[in-house]
Amino acid sequence: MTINTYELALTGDTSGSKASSAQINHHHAGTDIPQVAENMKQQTLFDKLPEDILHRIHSLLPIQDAACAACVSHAFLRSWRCYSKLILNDCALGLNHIEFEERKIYLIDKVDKILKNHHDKGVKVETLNLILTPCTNIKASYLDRWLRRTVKSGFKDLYLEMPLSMKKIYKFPCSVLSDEGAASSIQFLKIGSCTFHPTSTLGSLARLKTVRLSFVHTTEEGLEHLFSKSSTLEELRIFACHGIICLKIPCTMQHLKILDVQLCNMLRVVEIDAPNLCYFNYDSALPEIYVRNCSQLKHVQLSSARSSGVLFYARTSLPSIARNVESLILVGRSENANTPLLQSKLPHLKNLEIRLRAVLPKGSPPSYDFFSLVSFLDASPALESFTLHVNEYVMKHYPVVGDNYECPRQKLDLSHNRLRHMTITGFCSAKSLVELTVHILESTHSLERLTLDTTYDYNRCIQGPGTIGKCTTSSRIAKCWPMSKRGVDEAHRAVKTVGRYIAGRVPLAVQFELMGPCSRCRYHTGSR
Amino acid sequence: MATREAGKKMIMLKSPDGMEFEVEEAVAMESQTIRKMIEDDCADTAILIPNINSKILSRVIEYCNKHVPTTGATGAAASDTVAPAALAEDLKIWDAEFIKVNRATRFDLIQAASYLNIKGLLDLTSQTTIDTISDNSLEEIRSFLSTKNDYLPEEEQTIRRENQWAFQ
Repeated sequence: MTINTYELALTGDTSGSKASSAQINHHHAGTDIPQVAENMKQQTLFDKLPEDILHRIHSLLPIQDAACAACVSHAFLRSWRCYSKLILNDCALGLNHIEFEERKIYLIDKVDKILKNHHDKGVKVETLNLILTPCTNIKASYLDRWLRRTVKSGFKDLYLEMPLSMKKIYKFPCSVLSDEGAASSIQFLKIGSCTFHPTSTLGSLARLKTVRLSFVHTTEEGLEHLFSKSSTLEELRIFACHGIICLKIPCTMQHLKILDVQLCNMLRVVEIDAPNLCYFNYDSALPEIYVRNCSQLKHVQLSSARSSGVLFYARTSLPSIARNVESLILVGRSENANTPLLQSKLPHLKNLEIRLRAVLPKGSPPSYDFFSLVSFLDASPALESFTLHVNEYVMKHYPVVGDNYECPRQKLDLSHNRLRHMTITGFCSAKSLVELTVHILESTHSLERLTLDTTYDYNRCIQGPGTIGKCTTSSRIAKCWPMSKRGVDEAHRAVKTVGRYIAGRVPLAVQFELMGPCSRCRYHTGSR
Repeated sequence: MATREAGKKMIMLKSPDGMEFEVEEAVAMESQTIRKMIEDDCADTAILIPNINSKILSRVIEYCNKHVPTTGATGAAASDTVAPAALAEDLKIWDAEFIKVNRATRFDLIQAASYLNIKGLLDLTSQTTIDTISDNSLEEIRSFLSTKNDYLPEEEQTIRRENQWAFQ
């Protein structure tokens, strides 16, 4: 026990309040009086709290409760006049019990009243979180008025989300971001489903940290204006903005650390000049990517949802565009060409994760040799951890190791001297996968842990007590994620394959874990 | 006086009613106010905590003791064996028990948390108060908070009209 006087304190003083002498006197006087005194004391308790604490508590209330509370007392009203964080959506405004089609009218009405009241009373708004997804065909004049009343000098955080149908109809009023407007104070700009065409009238966005555009109709010219005024920007996320063909990140964006570009299907060229970019996530059809100064680019995720060849692209291009990458995640849907062995290197790559989750057309022959992944290991002398996730569809048509299989693949004279952890999920008895594993075991003296999971890497975030999730021998999960019959059969066969061709090759010093279907694994019956 | 006991630096906290609490420095530094005093070298002798009586101070210390990060010497064993998620879950349950106090104590705890700048405790006490306000009528809120209606009837009418949308 580190609190010496703790016991003493609990028993030594029972008053609980500073103005306690009167109460203590009453305490000795009779049985009913203490209760009265307690009530009297409490009568002023909340009012006694400093106003900044009251403001803090009030500001944590959802807007509807906060507005009601303004009618409690003058102190609450004063606090309401400083209520600067407006989160306006159908849930916060108590509309989620109303039919979706009818919500629109109520939502527009309430938002209009709130923003008008705040404006009329001169309340400075710092945050506006306006989610208008039910409001199809909302009039532009409403939106313009709301934004002009709210996004003013001192404003910090805008999150505007509209129905997809407004994408080409509503033009975001960039004048609210002029120097006379919120240019110098805005920190977060997140807009969805509208047209966004900044021009040269855009103010200098001196505090802007984050920009997120989703389903926004914009152009390169507009973005050029935005970027030229956003030298403090740290985080840029662009999601499903199809108007962009060439994305140029200028070198004036000295603070940009995170660049996240997803589902911009028209994008053909990405040019990055931001010198301090650290994290780059790209998920679209693979473009031409140029990075002029990539010294700080340490984390890269490349995904290609539709086109094939993300592994080929990464192996051939990354050594020049992200030479210093330390962690790399590659997500592909199919791979038509093997990964070539090349001279170029990724000298600092420590963690490599590859996910292949393609659905091959039925009956199409396997075209990718998993053994060619060795190319990444060869290119990465500093690699410490290698994780490969494949799903059953990827592996469906691969030839399996036969009874007389003796690993006839010619030995490659490659060694991987830093690799410590290797994990493969969706491990099956496909020949090229077995050969890859055997090669790594035989050429990696640094290996400490090998995990082969014959089930599939289902989303781990849904795990939790009482939910279904991935089965592991140590898990406390109540149910396993259902697998197809084929998947369970293949997993059993894979366990045998590992026992036959791999387990005996694992050095004693390597911690080896083989995960097969457990006794609770069951076939997917369609019921869940 | 700050003393050493089993390699851990101890700090003495004094309440205005004369109680003294010897606590580990790491526990006391859960309070940003005390942390600053220690870092500014103002904590050689006992630190007097004004305005917080011994009953409340002891509860605050109890909270800090529980919430001091387990990565230190005290909790190394615990964090090795218990998953972070389970630990967080335990803390949540503990918090829920901890905050089962009467209103007077809760308001005193809010003030103490605010003065001592202990974010977790301020969040916990504020949120508990908010839970008593949400979805209640004005009279219920006034009763829960033991606060007086200081509006004149016509004033209250005006402000109610202004916020009529919130009562619909």
